[in-house]
Amino acid sequence: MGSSRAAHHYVPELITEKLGMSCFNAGQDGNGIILQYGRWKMISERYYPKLIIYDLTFGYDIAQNDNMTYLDRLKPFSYDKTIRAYITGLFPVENLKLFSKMYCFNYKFLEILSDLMREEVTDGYLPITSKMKLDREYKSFPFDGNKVDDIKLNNVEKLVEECNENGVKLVFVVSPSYLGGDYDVEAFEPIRKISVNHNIPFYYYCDSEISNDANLFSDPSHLNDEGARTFTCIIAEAIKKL
Amino acid sequence: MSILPLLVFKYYNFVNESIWSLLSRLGLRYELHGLNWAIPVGISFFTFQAVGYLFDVYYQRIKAEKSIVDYTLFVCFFPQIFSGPISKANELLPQIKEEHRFNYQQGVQGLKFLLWGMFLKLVLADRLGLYVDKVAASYEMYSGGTCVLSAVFYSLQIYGDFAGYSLMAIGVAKTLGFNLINNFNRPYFSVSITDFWRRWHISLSRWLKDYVYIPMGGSRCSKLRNYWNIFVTFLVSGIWHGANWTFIVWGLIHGFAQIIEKALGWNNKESKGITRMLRIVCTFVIVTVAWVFFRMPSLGDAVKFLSHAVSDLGKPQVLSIANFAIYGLAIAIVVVKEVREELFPSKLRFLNNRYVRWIKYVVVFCLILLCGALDSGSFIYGSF
Repeated sequence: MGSSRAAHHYVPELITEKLGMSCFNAGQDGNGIILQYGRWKMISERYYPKLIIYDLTFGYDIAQNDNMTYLDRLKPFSYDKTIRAYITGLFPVENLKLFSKMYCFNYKFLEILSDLMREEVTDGYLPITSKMKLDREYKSFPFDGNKVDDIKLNNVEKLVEECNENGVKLVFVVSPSYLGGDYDVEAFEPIRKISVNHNIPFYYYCDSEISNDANLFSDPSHLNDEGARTFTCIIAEAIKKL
Repeated sequence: MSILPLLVFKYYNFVNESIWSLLSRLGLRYELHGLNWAIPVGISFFTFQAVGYLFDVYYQRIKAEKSIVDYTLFVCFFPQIFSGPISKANELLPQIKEEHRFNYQQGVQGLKFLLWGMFLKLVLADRLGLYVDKVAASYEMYSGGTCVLSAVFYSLQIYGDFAGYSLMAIGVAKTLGFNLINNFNRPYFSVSITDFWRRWHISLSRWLKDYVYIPMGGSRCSKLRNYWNIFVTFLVSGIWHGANWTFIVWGLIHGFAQIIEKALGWNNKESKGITRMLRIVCTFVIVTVAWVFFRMPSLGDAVKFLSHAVSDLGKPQVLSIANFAIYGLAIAIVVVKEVREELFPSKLRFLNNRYVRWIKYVVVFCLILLCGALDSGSFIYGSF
């Protein structure tokens, strides 16, 4: 679970091979805990997975920004009472808007059509084949404590608690970014604290060895297929040791 | 006194930082604390409206308003307070004093404006904004073709955003029985930059003409003085848009383009056929290049963006097929409507048929719900 970094960085077939369990990549472009907690609620109504690898992105899991945009992919499922309650809990006015099915499927109908035309099945994993051309200096952004979003952190905490209650092993990972990437480890401190309090493993690979190899990236924030395969093997080995 | 709040809220930090930056280059340490205040919504718009009123009273074009309530409503008229149109006192104050009863025809007309404004904002502007924002945030990573496409998209985005807001403001005011000035008249069909400013943000152009350009002498003076007047007017326009050098450069590009047009006699030259088409395309290119300065956070970024766009040529990237389908649909609808209104205003009368009109309203309404970016995005001009 996680953002586009999750969708592009974890190869389900390798996780199945290394950990001996079926796997689906639920990462979603431009999304984080607001969407993923809703998805968790839907999944947990039916069954509990053995393991969740949650890839953290500062902008989508910690920073304060417009949470309304993250609900887009949950609106088509608003017929489900739990999802409706979750959406209207965050934005009460949505209760009225959700009566319109056109509103619920706003923009989604074209995505559904384009997904139907997609031939390859990759269990949610979206491989990128291009290599990063750019060779420029990147600097990490200093952590600004004022920008922490309590709603997002609350969702993270609830996810952790519900996973613990139901025997689901949860692992937090910050996957590699080119040359150490967008944010320092300090930026993830609020979630690291939650993970320490609840005894959840927290892996910070943002500035790991593979972060220095431009050939493994398609852009500074995303690994390409080769990078994703290398990284999936590394994280699978780490989880195996738990 | 009228412009003091605008100067303090909007320009204090800019002036402070510019002086600090200049002095620090000379090795001098000077620093005043910056202001971290929330800027009142629409301060640039209602300040200009209030300043216009003062000028009109001073030059005895109107009588001073005795009712503080009517004056306050004139300055803070809610449909236009956020982003205009900037009304003149002699247009709005008499309407405020009139008794208003619901007028069905005016109500219908207002709702039509509101619907089309929402389409421009939510389906055209906000959807294109997703592409523009993504490319502008890390333009170095995209091909030159992608940068060019995003610049063109930004031209359409800002039109949809601002014209959409203006139409919604006009529509809301109309349903309440008030008539506001039309702010846009198909600006991308302009054949020159001079023509562009007759069609883009008409209420601001009129304000600048009446309260800056003409008091300085307008065109009834020597050629050089006239060029100077144009330069100053567009410098003021740039500064009004924002406290950043990017807006000043944007204003100056428009100012210099108009001076050149005037010097070459192109400003009022009529043209037809292919020549007109070429002039429209050339004007659009100049306006689009100027918008790059308007959009990017700094002058350096704007210059780098433009040089990257022309030096690293490559195919434009389609970041999302679904989004591109919506862009195509929205642009096609807007282009067809505007081409018809610009080139064939009295033809294709079947489009005015009652049933065809209702089909158009329902289709536009459904497209807003199905394709509009229905998040909590704001208006670009809301930050000015």
